Amino acid sequence: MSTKILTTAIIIFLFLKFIFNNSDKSNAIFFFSDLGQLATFLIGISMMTFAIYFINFLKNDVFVITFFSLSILFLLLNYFFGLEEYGSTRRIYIFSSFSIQPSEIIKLSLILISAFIFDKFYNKKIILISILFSIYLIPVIFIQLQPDTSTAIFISSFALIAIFLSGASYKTLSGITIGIFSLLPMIFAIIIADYQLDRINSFTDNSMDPLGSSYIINLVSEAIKSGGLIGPGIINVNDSILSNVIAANSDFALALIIEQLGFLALFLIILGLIGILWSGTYISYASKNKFDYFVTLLSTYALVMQGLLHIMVNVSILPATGTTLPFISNGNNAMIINFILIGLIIGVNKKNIESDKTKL
Amino acid sequence: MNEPNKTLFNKSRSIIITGLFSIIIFLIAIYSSYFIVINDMENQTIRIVDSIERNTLPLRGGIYDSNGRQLAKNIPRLKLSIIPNQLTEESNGIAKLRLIEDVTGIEISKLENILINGLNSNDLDRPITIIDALSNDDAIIYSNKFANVKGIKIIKDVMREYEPSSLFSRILGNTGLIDQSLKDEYIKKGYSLDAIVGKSGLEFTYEDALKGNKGKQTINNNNEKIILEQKATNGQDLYLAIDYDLQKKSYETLLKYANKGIIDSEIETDNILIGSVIMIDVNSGNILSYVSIPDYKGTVFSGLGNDSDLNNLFIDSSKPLLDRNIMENYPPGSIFKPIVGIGALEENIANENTTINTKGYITIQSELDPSIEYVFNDWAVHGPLDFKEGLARSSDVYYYYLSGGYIDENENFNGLGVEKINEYATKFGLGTTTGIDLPGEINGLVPSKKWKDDTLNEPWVIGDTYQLGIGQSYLRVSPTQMVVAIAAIANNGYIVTPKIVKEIRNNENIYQYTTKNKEINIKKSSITLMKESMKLAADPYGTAHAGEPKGMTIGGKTGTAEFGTVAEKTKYKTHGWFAGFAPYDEPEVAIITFLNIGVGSTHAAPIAKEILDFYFKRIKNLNSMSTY
Repeated sequence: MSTKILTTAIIIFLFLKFIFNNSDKSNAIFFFSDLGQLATFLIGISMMTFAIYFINFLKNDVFVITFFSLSILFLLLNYFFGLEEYGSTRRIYIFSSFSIQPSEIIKLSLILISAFIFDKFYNKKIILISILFSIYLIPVIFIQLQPDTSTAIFISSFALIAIFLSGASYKTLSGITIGIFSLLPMIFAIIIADYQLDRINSFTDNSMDPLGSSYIINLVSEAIKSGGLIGPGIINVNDSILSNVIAANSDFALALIIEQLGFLALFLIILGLIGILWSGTYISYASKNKFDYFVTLLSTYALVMQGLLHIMVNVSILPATGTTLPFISNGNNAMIINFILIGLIIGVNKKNIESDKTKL
Repeated sequence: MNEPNKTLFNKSRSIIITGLFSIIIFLIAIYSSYFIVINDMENQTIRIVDSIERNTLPLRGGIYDSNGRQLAKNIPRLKLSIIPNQLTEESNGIAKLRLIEDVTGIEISKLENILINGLNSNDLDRPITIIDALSNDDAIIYSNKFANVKGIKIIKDVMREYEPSSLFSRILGNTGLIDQSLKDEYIKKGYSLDAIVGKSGLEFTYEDALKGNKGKQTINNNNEKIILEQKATNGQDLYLAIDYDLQKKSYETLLKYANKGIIDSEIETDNILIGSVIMIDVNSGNILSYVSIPDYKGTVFSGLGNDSDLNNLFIDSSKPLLDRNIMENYPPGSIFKPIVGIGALEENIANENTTINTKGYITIQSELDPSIEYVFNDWAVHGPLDFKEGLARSSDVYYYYLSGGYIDENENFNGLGVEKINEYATKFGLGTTTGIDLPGEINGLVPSKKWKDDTLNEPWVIGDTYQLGIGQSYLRVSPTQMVVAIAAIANNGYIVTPKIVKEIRNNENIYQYTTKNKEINIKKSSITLMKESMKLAADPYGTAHAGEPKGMTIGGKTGTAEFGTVAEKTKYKTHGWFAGFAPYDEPEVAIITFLNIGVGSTHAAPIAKEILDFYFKRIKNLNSMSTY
């Protein structure tokens, strides 16, 4: 059952991805906006396949620790050598069309190392929670230094979920929660960047600065509103209300797709997210070891949270944060990481089925 | 089958998180559906890429008389315009200009000039007018010819049309482009440089109410579809207290007697009819009639206006643009006596029983050279007069006594003196603007010792005080100031602010435009005695009887003020004045009629008589009939 639901969810997302790509006709190659996107998609698919079949390799102590250390190193490198874009330093360019976005990679490595630690220290609650806390603290600080508050908050929330799942007492949890959220205003005050203030201010008063941030929010609202129930169908990206918005096809992918398919698109995406959430939870429940359980759950939640954040930004519940819509938004790192995450879920499911078979 | 796993580790917490996420997803799904399907973003200003945002202009408010007759309105204005940015789209810009040349007959060189002049503003999307105020026929022809030509457009706009007669032209004023000198001021207030603003009259004073608020339209550049619109709010309407018919009556009567005044004067003048009428409600200050001649037609500023008419107005030696009610000052003559009289009563210089035996003149010795004797004449020998009679007969000698006093071997009468006269004149609002809701009002002049010393470098002499006491000397007032002073007597001591506009209305509301009356501290008894005196003046006994309509009791006072230099022999040119309030018992209106050339009792008073008669018999009856 979970396999079918998950497959349906993936098919929904892929369907929307192709619709989405098809509108971007400027340099379209096989429904992809450019060669880079096609390459990313293919890399993503292969990484997913790898994750499905070699999940046990990803479990390997040496790999997990090395991967985690490397992604922390990337974060540091990014902090010192990254290229500033739109007021924030987020990526390291390897060559012109390919860059590494450490804050995306860290998501995967955190999931893996969380699961690893959960597996190793399950019976020693205090050590487990302390380690979990510290492995999340380092990336949060460095991501915030970029500055990329939204990802920092995303990872902080993720840390809370991980600690909650690890069985921390409610007392500990509330302590940590209060700690994190009382620190937030301080973090905001000290290192928040101007562009972020713009985003937050323009969110609270969208008449402010008609050509700046609120301008984009208004455009997004307008795009979404124009979709109606089923939308006008596929439209050329140049005709889109968002055609001139920078990074519209990643940050505002939902708006772009709703502009074409209307409410139907949102319905499908919600359906896909629920599918991933429920099947992921079911698969984790049926998993045979702690690592699989933890890795599946965290992967599921990571995907669902991203999706939710993206929707909330697009319908103006949250200020623009630059969160991509899983599988649909254009983007290199996020796309590949998401494919790996879904690969992990499918991999665990595959293992579950196989072990059930062997038991039979 | 999964039994061992459950004991292996606790999975229940995942259910909690998944449950929470499920709930959040559902909530967001519901909210988003609402956002997409239902939420309309009416109040958000949205700027769309590849679209243009343009201001939609509100309609300027209308101006109406007290019966709702429209005096100023908006009429459509069609302009053949070029939009520079679009001119070169699709085809050659020159080719398009040639097309305009062919269709309209305007030479291409001229078109180029218009275009170059128009391009001074950096905004290439702003239309440049080729032909303004197209006739409907031309508009139809041109819109067909240029239907498919991008960059050439017929633009609809509005312009002002005023009541064509001259009855309201001065009151309404005009609109026009912002003066270069006032540019910064208007821009600060949010106007664009090509905005049409009120320039004079009510159009100027009530600019804020009339102008309305701009709206915004966002238009998709490709298909000209309006994507978003924030509607413009039209300006508010002004309702005057003036009735059209009464205004007309006032105007005609004024003309008639102004003409008569010049004929009767037998003095050679330039035969320009100059005069004014102002009648106000004594309690509210609402102006019921407001005429000043010479005047100009309302058509001068209607539509695009007529340049030659306008130029004529500016060079006309009779200065028709000058509003005699507020922009010019004159010596008031005897209509100033009520103020001197009240001053004398207040200062205990006179009372009801103060009797002065007037012999037709008084003589005084020169202060500088005792051998010189000055004679101050009265206009007649009145004999002994008490206070009321003194005013009713308009005895100059009586008021020489009250103002300057008189001392000889038999008599020792103390007068008010210049400073006290100044004080009372100022109390009654002379020497300062009244705050009328029309632009251009001037102060006038109430002289004082210091003023004469400072300005003319001459000492104030007793003769000046005598002259001032009968409203001559250096005293200068406007008819509007005088009507406020008379109203203050009529309403027992309140200075009202005269105002043309009674109500400001928009679609939903009517704002009564009211101002606060200022009380002047005068004893009720003094005012009552002065009213009685003015009643006596308007009785057959008095000099102002010609101002009293039949079957009605009013308070009145005439004035005949000499001005200028001696015209012929010993004859001066005279201004004719009448000041009055009516009815006597419960005064409702105060009126001032003024003729540049005329005599108070023979020319100015009859004007008031006819206007008051018309007002109380026609307008008031009509109004009361319509009320019940």
